[in-house]
Amino acid sequence: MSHSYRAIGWNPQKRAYDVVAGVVAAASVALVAGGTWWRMPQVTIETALIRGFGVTALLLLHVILSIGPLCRLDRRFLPLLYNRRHLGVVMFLLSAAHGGFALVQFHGGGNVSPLVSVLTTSTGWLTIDRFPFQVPGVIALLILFVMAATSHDFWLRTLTAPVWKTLHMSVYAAYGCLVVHVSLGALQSEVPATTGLLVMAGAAWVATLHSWSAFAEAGTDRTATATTWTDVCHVDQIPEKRARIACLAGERVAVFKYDDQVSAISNVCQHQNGPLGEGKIVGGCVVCPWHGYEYRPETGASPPPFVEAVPTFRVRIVEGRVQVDPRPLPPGTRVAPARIER
Amino acid sequence: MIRPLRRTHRAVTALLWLLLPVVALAIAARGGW
Repeated sequence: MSHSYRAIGWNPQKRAYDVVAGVVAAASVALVAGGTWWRMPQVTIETALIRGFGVTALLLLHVILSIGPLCRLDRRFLPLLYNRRHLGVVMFLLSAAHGGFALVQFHGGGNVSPLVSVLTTSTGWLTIDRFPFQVPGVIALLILFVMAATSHDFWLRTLTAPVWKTLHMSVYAAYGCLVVHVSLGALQSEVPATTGLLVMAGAAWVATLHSWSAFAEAGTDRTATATTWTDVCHVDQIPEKRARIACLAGERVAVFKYDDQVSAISNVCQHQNGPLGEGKIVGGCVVCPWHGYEYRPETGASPPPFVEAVPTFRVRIVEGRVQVDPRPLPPGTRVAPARIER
Repeated sequence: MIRPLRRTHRAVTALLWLLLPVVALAIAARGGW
């Protein structure tokens, strides 16, 4: 959390993350380009680099898309999530290099602008072998550019979290475009037939992970539509300074127990939608496990000078059972905690 | 916030599975192996 603008908050973890990402990406480009040149010595170095950058970017996109569901399934993957945007920016740079080389190699040197050529070379929209596969590639590159350009927290704050999140969900549209780009492009030419199997395996891997995490999360969600007090659990089932997460009326609520009292706030952190209920109370504040944003459990508001706030919920204890009113109160609304009678 | 995310997640997951027949079609068009 910061109340002053800093361009980049470098720390040893970020540096290590970036070094590893950069080294692995460079090695992958060299490996694929070298392998292409060895298998087909007649191709130019530019063609080998086009393959190297393209394959590495697509592999990296599969890693990026896997991180979210993996974190839902096993918290040990969370360190990969913290700087996932850095991988996204690296992937965009690799894609831009792929696109740039391809633009020059296959569409430069003619009497038509390369940018016009790349969009009009193929016109077989209803065919497979002459489908203009370049177009979905360009669309994907534009999406990745917008995502990379808005990856900094400055844009998250400026655009607000819901808008920013919606924008960055377009990574799935980019992935779909890239699968089409490869399937109807490179796969229709001289690449090995096993490439098709690899592309299919990659899509199946991403789809399976997302389905698996969806089923795992569905166990926590209930489709309760009650508008009255809803039983959550016994007060002893909530660990001290920790929370129990419940899904009430389609919204996740984190019920915290601390200092012989209970409070309920929204489970969704205002920063990047982290699960507040998986955090703990430190120094009187709920601390988000993802990036450390803090909220007072009684009000859902961040301590001054910070201004973030989450919705709060009325809570009561009846015969040792914690009950929550599922109707959220405006962010920052003070709600008296329910005292635990011993 | 959760309700829209759940809907989006379900839609995205369904669309991901739809990519598989696209790739299968591309492999078939190439002439298989």
